[in-house]
Amino acid sequence: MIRIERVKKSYRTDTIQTTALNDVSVHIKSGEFVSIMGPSGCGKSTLMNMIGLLDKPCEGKIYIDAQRIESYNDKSIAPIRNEKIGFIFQSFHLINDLSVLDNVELPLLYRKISAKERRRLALEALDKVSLNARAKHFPNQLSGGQQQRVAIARAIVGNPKILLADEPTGNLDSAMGNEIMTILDDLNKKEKTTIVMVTHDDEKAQLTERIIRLFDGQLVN
Amino acid sequence: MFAHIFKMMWQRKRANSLIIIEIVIAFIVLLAVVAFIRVSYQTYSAPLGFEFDNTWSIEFEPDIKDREKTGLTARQTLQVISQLPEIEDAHTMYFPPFIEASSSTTIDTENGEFFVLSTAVSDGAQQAMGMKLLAGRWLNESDNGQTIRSVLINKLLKDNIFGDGNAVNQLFDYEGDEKLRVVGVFEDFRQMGEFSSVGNYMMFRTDLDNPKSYYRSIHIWVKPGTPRAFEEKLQKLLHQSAPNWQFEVTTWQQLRDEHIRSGMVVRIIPIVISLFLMLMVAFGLLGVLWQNVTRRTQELGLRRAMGATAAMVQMQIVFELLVISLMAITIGFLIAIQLPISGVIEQLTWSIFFQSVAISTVIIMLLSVACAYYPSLIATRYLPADALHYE
Ligand SMILES: Nc1ncnc2c1ncn2[C@@H]1O[C@H](COP(=O)(O)OP(=O)(O)OP(=O)(O)O)[C@@H](O)[C@H]1O
Ligand SMILES: [Mg+2]
Repeated sequence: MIRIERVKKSYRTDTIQTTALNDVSVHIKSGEFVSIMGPSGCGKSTLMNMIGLLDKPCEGKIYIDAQRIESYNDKSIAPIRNEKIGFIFQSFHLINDLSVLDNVELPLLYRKISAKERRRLALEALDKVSLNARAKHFPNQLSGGQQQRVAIARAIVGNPKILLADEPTGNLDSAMGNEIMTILDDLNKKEKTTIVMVTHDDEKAQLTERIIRLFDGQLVN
Repeated sequence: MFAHIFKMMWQRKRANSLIIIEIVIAFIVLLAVVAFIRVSYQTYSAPLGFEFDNTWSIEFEPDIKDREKTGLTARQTLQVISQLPEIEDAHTMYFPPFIEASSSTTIDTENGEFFVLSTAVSDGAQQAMGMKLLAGRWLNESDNGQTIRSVLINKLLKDNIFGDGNAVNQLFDYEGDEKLRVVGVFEDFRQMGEFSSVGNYMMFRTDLDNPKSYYRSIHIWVKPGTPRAFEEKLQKLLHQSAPNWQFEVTTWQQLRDEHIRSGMVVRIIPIVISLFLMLMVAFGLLGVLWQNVTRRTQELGLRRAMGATAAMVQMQIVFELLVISLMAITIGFLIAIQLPISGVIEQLTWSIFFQSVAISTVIIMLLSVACAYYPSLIATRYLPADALHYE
């Protein structure tokens, strides 16, 4: 489903060059629930951005569904991002000027779907994260956990085959975190969604099928 | 999609109304400057009604105490210099062109009161100046000894008093109980030059044979190519003819140059101020619009992460700003239109107003589109991962 081959990524700022990913290869099969672990700054988010097609590698190849896409142009990448991938960011990234419902509808705006159907799907996604009652609220009127659940609803509203979650429980207390884990687990079991999750929490990582460990931009076994 | 954009704009109404205010101000300032330039240009380019090539003005200090002696001396002088081979024609004129002096009066008619400037010239001066006769005839000897004085009027005054009707041989009330007879209508005679406003004008006759006629300048039409040095010869002759008088010789070209120069000096200050004002407003608008987009770099990155193409995101930004500037221009238009409605500024005609509105609208729209297009182009050049980290 997802194959990352010998990917290198380095950032250059003025004088210092930081290598975020150094020769990383990962293969994630369809329907897997994988977690990525490693110390802060080891390149977890960078790897997630590569898989989610939000960033381009300096070297290496990225395959999604056997399509090699790292050199695709903006116009061809956009529909893949839209249809195949749902992304949950480390820092939510909700639009404060839009209601919860409109935030969840956002990915559907870039598909050919009627407004009515968009609404129905968004409410359905909100139902999955038990937030229907807050549909008309605005993000800044919600708690951190609720915002995270809105972000999850937005990531799953388009029914993507791949869900990428960058520390989805990082900002939450353990009760809230467990609730989110249950939601992800359900998606993986019931909807057969492939999930890649970054976490610092060993307990939560143990709940997944496989753990990928990163250190200083490289895989460790 | 449109519903989404409008919803978003409504939620951002605070920020957007600031932008609208900024654009309204920019639009009104721009409109004022464009209209001012347009009105000035209209005035400046309106036909002068006469030619000024190869024409020289000879002004003298007349002896006010003895009008008759003054007239006699002036007449003799006119005859003497007319003999010179360099001089093709010579006439008297009460107020020469390109100076800020003229006779003025108010004429009371059925159509209202009109402010009118006038001068008096000797017979044939109109042809010498290349003035254009639209109806009737010029003044001549046949106007001698009439109980009702003859007068020439310009087209504007004719339109004001008589409308579309015929003016020739018609009478109108002049100062006191006097009536004047129109014998001819000329295109115009903008005595005070290109910078003066277009207005009503009348021309009376100076009868050189009448010892009571009075004038204070003589104008000569020299052969083309006559050098400026000819003045020396002329001055000698003038001095012989009237030894006690001082004569000042200037070409009409010089008078006009001086008129243009002083007209420019008077206008340069408001022009500089308004250009400065426009620049300030333009930079302010540029800054506000530019910041409005860059501040949203994260949002734009998010939209692309959600599957929007860079082009779609850019279109949204441009569309938003187009709607905002259209709203602002509408508000600015509704404010600005009060001026031509009230009619306070006479030269601000509807056609000039709407022309200026059209020009200002196009400029503001282009500025807005550019201020949406370029920063959003820059914002969408980032990879979504970088845009999402943009602060
Ligand atoms: N845009 C960037 N410019 C420069 N350096 C960057 C950039 N993004 C990441 N890096 C660097 O790349 C390395 C990996 O960063 P990354 O965000 O992938 O770490 P992480 O494992 O997600 O850390 P955390 O657990 O704190 O989220 C870090 O050293 C970081 O400083
Ligand atoms: Mg990270």
